[in-house]
This record gives sequence, structure tokens and C-alpha cells, in this order.
Amino acid sequence: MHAWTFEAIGTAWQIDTREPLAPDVRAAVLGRIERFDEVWSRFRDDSLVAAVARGAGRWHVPDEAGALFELFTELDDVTDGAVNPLVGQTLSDLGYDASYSLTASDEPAGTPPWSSIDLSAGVLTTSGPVLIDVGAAGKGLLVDLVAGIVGREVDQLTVDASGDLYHGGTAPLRIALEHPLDAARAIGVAEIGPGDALCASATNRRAWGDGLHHVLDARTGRPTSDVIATWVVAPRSCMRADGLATAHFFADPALLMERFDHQFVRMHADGRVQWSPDLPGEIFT
Amino acid sequence: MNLPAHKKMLSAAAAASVLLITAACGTSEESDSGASTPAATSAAPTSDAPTEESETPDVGAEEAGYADGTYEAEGSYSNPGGESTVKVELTLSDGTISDVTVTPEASNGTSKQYQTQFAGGIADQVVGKSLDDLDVSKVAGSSLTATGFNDAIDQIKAEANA
Repeated sequence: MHAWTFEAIGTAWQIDTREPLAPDVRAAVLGRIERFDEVWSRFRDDSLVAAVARGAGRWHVPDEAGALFELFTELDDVTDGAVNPLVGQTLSDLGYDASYSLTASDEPAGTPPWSSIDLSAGVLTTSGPVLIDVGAAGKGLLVDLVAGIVGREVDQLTVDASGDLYHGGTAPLRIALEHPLDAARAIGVAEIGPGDALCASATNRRAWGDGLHHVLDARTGRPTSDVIATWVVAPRSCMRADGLATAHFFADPALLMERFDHQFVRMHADGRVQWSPDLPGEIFT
Repeated sequence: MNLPAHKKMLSAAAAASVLLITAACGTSEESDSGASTPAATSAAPTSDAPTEESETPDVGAEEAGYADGTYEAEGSYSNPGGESTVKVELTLSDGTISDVTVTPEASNGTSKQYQTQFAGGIADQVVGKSLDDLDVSKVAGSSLTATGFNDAIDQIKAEANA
């Protein structure tokens, strides 16, 4: 296997293929990531979401917005509004802003309801300034887009964007589930099949002072504290695995299992671990 | 028995499921192996224990004085998704339920989903294993995420130490 590693959207990527990818394929991958960043990054002031944050208006958004916003609507619904991408301004006010100030405002902005913006026929309409944070599923979506490009060239591939992973090919892949409080240990192993995605999410790494981290409950504007790490395996879509990994910080697992085709593991703040009965793997109890 | 509270809760939920869905079809290991316990006795925990006591799972078994051992039962029930079956294995130690395993055997998707709510795994304080001892290709966690964020943290630490 050949591993191509690079940094993009502020994180480490690794794409494994049997043979090295041709230069034009690499360029296509990096170009696609750049175009995604130009639209969705709230860490640059020339992005589309930065423009949307400046005031009400109508914007043409790329095709990928359709599936992404549809998933957000499902997640908003199943979590009673806890997962809501309009939490961006609140998150920014708490210190996770474009300049990484990591300094919390005394009065962070509230989060408008997800239903307050509209996407129809590729046009986003807003009635006021809103800061969209696609973090709940955006990186997973980007993994899918990259895997789509690579998958046109080769049939054996694994795209790993540090916590969001898509596996294509013929052989299963064994993945350790990193202990959120000890990176040298694993709480279990998942074995995913070709066509599966696995996403991991944890609150402890991207954390700054006074219980602040990047997974906010949009209803309260405060970081969630009960669940500290989640893993989700879902077929075919890293975007859905990513979104469900976020939802598992908030929603009743039984409800999520009922509505979405996936398997999960989640660790609570007290060290308790829960997982779905059909988890393809093992938890080291 | 000294189980943590949530383990008891899980047992309670599972025990309640047993009570509701098994129609006295249990067999015990002892009867399977030809020992003295008749099948009727092993079925008793499921048929006699009152359902309203499901929030205190230990009481029903204890008061009735059931024999220790591992009991296995299969139950079927009707639901909106069709006919479903679950396999339940529970262990009695000193007259109390010490372990319960519920395995869904639903054949259709809807029923399988209904059953997942009481068939998932749960464990206390998972310590895990050292990554060095595992044969894996990948690690999924948060240790590599958000280099920009980590840089900012490092910078703040450096400034704090300056």
C-alpha cells in the first residue's frame, strides 16, 4: 500500500492506495478540498459562509449543500435542535473563532433555529446574519467528495482525515478506537467492510478553559458534558457517519438506531461505554 | 450482589423484557445436562415474577427462591414490524440476577430496530488495551485533529510560560 499524507482544512489527511496516485489525481483532490474550504470555512473571511455571516441575502451554493442541509435537517429534528449548524456564532463567541482567540465572551450570541434559513434549488436565503458551522458533518462530506475522485481512478482506497474515514476496496479494515483520555490506548477495535465509513468525535482535544470545547448544544449554547467521545460506522456515507457521531452526543441511542442505518460506540464522562449490538468489532470490557 | 446502579438498570430493563416476552419457554443449563432441576422450575422466574417489580429486578427472583444457574429462553412477540424473536440468557447467583444477555433475532429491519433499544452493550470504566498490543491498520480518535487549534493551544501555553 502507498500512503499519501498532507495537511488540509487544518488537519492531517492520509490516502492509502495500492499504487501511488498520479499527479493530476492529487491535484484534483487538493483542488476539490480548496473549493470546499472557499465555501464552508468559517476560518477565512473570503469564504461563502463568512459572506453569509455579514448580513441577510441570497447566495448560490454548490451542489453538495443539498445533501448536507438535508442531513442537518434530520439531525436537528432527531436531537430536538441540539445539533444545529447555526451555532457558529455562539461557538465563535466562546472563543473558537477565525483567529483561534480561545477567549470566551461574557455574553455569547444565541443560536437561531435551523428552520430560519432556507435552501431551495441551490439558493440559500437568509433574513439576517447567521454564521453557519458545518462541523457536525462537513468533514465527513469532504471525505466522501475526495473518495469519489480517488475512486474513479483506483478501486482500493482508504481516505482518512483524522477521525473521519472512508474505506473502499475489497478487504476489511481493522481500526483501533482511541481512548479519549489516553491516546496510547484503545477502548476497542472496529472492523469495517469495503464501502463503510467510520467517524470518531471527542470533546477533550479541542477544548479550552472552563469546560469549553467544540461540541455545543445549540439549545443552550453550552458545550455538552455527558458524552465525551463517539464513534459511528455507517454504510457508504462518511457525511452521515460524521453527522451521527455528532448526534450521539445528544440523542437517545435507541432513537438514532431506529431512524438511521449505522452502528455506534459512545463513552460517557463517567467512563461508561455503550455500543450497539451489531457493532462490527469488539469493546475491551 | 454489588453491581453499579446503571448495570442494575440495564438488568431491570432486560428482565422486564423477559417477563413480557417469554411464555414460560425457558430451559436451564442444569436441565439440559440432565441434572435434577426440571424445566418447569427454570421457567418459573419468567412466569411468576410480577412485572410491576421490574424496577427492582433482584427482588422477584430472590423471594421466589429460584435455583442458581444460567437460564436461556427464546421469546416471540408481535409488533408493528411483524413477528419477532429474542434470545435471553440470564444468570442467577445467590438468588439474584447477576448477568443478562439479550440477543435480537429479528428477521425484518423494523423489528430489529425495535429490539436494539434493549440489546446494546454497556460497560463501566473501559480501560482498554495498549495500541502496541493491537493488530490494526488505523486509529480513530481525536489526537490528530485540528492542527490549527492545537497550534493555538501550544501558542497560548508558550505565552503563559514566557
